[in-house]
Amino acid sequence: MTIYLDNAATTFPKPEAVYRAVDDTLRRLGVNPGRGSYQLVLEAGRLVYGVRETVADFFNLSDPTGVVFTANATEAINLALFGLLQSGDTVVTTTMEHNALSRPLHALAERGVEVRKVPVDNTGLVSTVDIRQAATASGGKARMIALSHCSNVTGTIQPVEEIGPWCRREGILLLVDAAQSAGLLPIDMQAMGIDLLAAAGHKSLLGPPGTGLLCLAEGVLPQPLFYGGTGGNSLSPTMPEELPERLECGTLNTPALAGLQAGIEHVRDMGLEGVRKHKSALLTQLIDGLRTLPGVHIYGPAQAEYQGGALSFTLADHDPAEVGYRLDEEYGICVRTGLHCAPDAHHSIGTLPGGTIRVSPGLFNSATDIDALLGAVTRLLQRVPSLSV
Amino acid sequence: MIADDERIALFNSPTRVMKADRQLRKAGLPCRMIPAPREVAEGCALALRFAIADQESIFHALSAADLMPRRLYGKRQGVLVALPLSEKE
Repeated sequence: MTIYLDNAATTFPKPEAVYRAVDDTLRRLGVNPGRGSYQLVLEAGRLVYGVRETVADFFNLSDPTGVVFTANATEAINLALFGLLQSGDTVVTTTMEHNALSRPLHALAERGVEVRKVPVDNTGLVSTVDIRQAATASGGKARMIALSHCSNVTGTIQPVEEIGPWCRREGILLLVDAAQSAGLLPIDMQAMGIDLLAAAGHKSLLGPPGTGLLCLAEGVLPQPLFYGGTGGNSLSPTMPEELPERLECGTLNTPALAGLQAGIEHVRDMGLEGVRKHKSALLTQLIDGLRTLPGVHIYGPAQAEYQGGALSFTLADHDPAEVGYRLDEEYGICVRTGLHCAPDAHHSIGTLPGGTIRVSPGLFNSATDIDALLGAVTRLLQRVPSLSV
Repeated sequence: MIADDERIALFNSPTRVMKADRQLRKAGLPCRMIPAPREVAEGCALALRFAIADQESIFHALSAADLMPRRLYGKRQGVLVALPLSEKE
């Protein structure tokens, strides 16, 4: 039987209610919300609006029209960055970012945006003081600070709740990449001073693949990245000023959004505390087990209470790629090896070019799964030579 | 589609109509989303239709939710005419 421990990539499986919601919506309401005005379309439109309300409530965003649906967190981040930053602007980020953030920033740097990358410590943590200094350094105040809430490599949780209120006071926009934290860590956009929150719907929010969102605080209005039909004011050659239509054109994936709604409701019913407790117990079991093995190096905080849902480690003299291959081939265990689309983060923790073995348990994993992984790693360590020898 | 004793309200975007519809349903105020007649809307748009008798309570609820419509229309001698948002009749 396969043991899936790659929930930082996407959660799998999903709660039964998610499968049911997708299937039911595709069968019963497989129409195009916002396009036309017959009863079925209106019902689909109400469903989509209901998901906006659920999302807004979940992240304490006052106006649900500030919830923009995207295909994934990457699209949401691109909407935010390209919609707000122009040549001459300065943006501050960290050296722990996923390519979803660092690649668009690289592209913007080529267009004249100054990108200041703040280094992190050896656990992947950025200092609030360093962020503040970079954002107000000589050469001009930053227009935006953009960083991940939680690392997809080490699980390190950044001090967003310290950075956000300071940004508000300084008039600096704060974009948070919550791909790894939404549905796992508490996120209150108002209390944390978050102006733009980008999240995946298909990770800890438990929705289907192809769901993502960008939540915009009141008054934040990026330029559109995509242009097309929005279902209203069709005679106008320009995109509407109003959200979410301004940033959301073309047909929405209503069945997937229904699934996302069911996923968020599952998390809400379980409670973030319960979700975190479950994952922390599994990570603690994993950390404790790994520490008993020879040649294991754990990266990041290596303490479940200080990290999100992912843990990275290496085995001395073993290529992570090969370990991952063997875990899959010989034990049916799915983990993610390599650079996790985050070369900057791996550079920061000293794991280039081989990367790490990343384990990310989900809600449907159990202590038995972690025992199986630890047992498999133990046997791999005992069994040399490896494939590459 | 629109009777003499009814009004239609137009909003800035389809999602705002949805939001208004949701708000009014929650408040138990009767209304119906309809396609906006071509005389009053540029291109395709949704409108919210309600009885004149409910206008005051509907506007009160919409105003409280910062959701006032962009334009209001009613029928006079069989023709749709723009009405001031602050006027009941």
